[in-house]
Amino acid sequence: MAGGEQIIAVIDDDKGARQALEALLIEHEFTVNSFDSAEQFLKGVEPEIYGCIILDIKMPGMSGLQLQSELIDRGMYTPIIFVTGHGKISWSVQAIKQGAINFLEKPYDEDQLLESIAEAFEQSNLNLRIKLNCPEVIRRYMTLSTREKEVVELLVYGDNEHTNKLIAQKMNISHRTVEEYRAQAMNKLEAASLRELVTMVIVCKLHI
Amino acid sequence: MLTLDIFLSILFRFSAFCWTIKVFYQFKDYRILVLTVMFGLMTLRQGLAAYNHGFELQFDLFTNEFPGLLVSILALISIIYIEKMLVAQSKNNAQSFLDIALKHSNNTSTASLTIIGGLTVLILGIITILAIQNIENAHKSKHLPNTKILSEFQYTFFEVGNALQESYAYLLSGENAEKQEYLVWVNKTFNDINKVKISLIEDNKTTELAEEIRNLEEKIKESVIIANMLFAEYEKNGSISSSSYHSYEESIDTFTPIIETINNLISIYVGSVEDATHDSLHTSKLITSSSSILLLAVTIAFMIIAIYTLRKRQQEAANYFERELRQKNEEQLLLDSIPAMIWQKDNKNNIINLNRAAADSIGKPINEIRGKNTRIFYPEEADEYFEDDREVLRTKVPKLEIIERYQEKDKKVWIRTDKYPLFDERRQTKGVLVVAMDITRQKEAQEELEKDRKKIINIKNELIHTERINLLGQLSSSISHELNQPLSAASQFYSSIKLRLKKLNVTDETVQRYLNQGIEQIKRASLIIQRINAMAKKQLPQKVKINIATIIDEVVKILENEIKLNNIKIQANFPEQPPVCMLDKIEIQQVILNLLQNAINSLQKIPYNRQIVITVQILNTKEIKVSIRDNGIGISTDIVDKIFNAYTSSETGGVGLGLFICKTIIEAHDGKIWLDSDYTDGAKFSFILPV
Repeated sequence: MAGGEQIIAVIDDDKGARQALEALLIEHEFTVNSFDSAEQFLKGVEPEIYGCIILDIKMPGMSGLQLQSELIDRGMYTPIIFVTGHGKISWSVQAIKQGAINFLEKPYDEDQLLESIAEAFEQSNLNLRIKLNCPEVIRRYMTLSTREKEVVELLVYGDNEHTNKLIAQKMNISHRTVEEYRAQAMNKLEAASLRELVTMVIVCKLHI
Repeated sequence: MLTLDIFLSILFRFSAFCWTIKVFYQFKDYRILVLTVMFGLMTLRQGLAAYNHGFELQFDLFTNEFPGLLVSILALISIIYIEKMLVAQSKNNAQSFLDIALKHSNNTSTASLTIIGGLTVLILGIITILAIQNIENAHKSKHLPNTKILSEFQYTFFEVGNALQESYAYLLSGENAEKQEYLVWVNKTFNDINKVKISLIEDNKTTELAEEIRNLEEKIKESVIIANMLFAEYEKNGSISSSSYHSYEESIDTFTPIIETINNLISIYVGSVEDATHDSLHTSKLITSSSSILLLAVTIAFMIIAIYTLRKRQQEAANYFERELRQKNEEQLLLDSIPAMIWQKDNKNNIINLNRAAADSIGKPINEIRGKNTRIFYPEEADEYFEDDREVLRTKVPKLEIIERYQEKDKKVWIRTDKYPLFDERRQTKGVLVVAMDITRQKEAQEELEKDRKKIINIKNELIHTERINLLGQLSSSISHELNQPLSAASQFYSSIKLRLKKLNVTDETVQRYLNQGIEQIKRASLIIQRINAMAKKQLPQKVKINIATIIDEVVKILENEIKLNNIKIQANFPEQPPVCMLDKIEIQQVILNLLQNAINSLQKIPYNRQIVITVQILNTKEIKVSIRDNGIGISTDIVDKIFNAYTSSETGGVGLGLFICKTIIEAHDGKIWLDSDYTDGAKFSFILPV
């Protein structure tokens, strides 16, 4: 919710890990709700109230990644921090592409955790802000040229196309042109950063 | 009269006859028998001719019977020639030659022809001879007696006339005694005349003569009556009146012309009979000669046929033998074409026959080996071989698979020998058939196979070994991962305590110290875990680009025996493009091994139709999917969720780590492994590996 404290959701099937993390977060003055499974989380209160979800990837039943997909399908873009006992780089890539904040391997550093949480809250606020402003965002989006929209789409949804060079190759134009399109798009949308741009596109469901 | 030509003719014919008997006895040819019969008849014919001519020898060579003599000589020559031919043939093995040829000859028509011809000749001959004899006899019996009697009778008539005139004279002279005698004589002659008359009456040709004789008889009767009257008168009167005398003279005079007529008639008759006899004799002679000629012709004809058929038989026999020889050659060719070495031995270790391969192994041509003793060619081993032979001969059963090893130059050679007993017609062993084959190649192949088998066992052992090591690695890896959870939780709790204490303003150093030390220990534990992880990671998969199909094939081969033993039908479907991806060979082998072993175990619980299907698919440019499914008893629903967990087992004896390890390996490859829940006919495990 706007202003006030942001609530963290902790989801982990391992009771010990869950309780330990919960305790730590409480001691850091956070408000925490913990769940032992993704299903339980979904059954609970409206997920939108959470500013951050700390999520174990490997769980019986619905996995962390599956929950992430489920939330996105429902149009909820709550920032997620993934934790896991097994390092799986490929999964982490997938997680982050789908909007994860960070990917932490146990045992993780406390400071790292706090940093990620802060980042998550920030993102959560951003999400809210943009969501409330969606109509305006959409209007601005309409002012983009087709080429600019293409660039935006590739920036947001492309696999590894965050670099201008790759986008240029894909669109068959020079990478300077890509830069120009990108700059113009961001200008028109009044996005201060790539993250804002991405958030706008995703939250307001901008598409060509 | 027995002329010389007839005599010689008989002699020659009889000789020919005897000779044919001898030849027949020697050669047992039924056509000779025909000749025998013919010559016999010819001899008989000539003999009868001699009999008819009478047996007084006359040294006349060139009579009517001379052609018959020529025939006889020809007959004798012919049988001698036939015999010579037969002897010549028999010298060339023709005895059996002919026997075989005759036995194999299909020409029964000639045989029957010969028999029919022979019988015809026989019948003809008999008929001819009988006919001839009949004709001559008929003539003689009919006519000869008549003319003889008539010739005699001529004289008798003359005498009768004389007698009656004499009696007249005696009557005149008055001598009683003589006159009585003459009358007696006349009476007696009268009887004779009567007899002749009767026989003449019977014969048609002489009826006229008979009439005249009857006339004469009458006249003589009259004369006799008158004579008796005269005698009576003389007796009474002592003299004879001239009138009575006159009448007697008249009567006597009457029969003189009659007698003359009779004599004439008799002459004519006898002459004609003689002519007829001459004619008939002529005819009979003609018949005799023609019959002889006929017999000769037939004989010659049959001789020609005999010679011809004999020739033909010879040809057939020669053909037969040629065929036999060719067949024998073909049989030898057949033997020679067999690569195995074949010897035919008798029961004294002599080599009766052998094929080319056997001769080559000895190194001499077949002809030089045939018939000789084994000892000549195998001086050292002959006794040994003979021992085997003796065993076979004694037991009458084959001795098989005698295997020997030789060192030939620089190579090892293996020979397998089989010995079979050979029996004669009385089921006694008469020899041994030896078949020997070079089985070096097979033995070598066997040894290769052994080597391969050993290799596979080694690979299997290695795999098991590696699995164990990996297991250890995985275990420690999993244990360390599991340890991470509680350790990091504990660490977090420590941090929480620290924070709370801070809030509670607890500054007690000791408490802080204890806390810090606790955190230290946890960190230390963490390090240990990290080190263990590092060690486990050393067993990191060595990834190389490999075709998964190859790995699957290898694993299936390792489990081949078990699959066969359990009657499992296994099928693998591979895509056309080789499914290549980066993976650790041993680890993926382990995964497949585990999955297949699980499939086999679950299939053992169903009775029949056990199947495993392995499918490899290239899903897209990035992923390859492998599925292994079976139609076994499947996974029970209560453990379906936990199946990939450690220590979950469906077997009472299992540890429950197989699938867990699989999962670890697959995930270490950044892949995913799962149980296909849609497939309910058994179990279907699939995993995806990134390319």
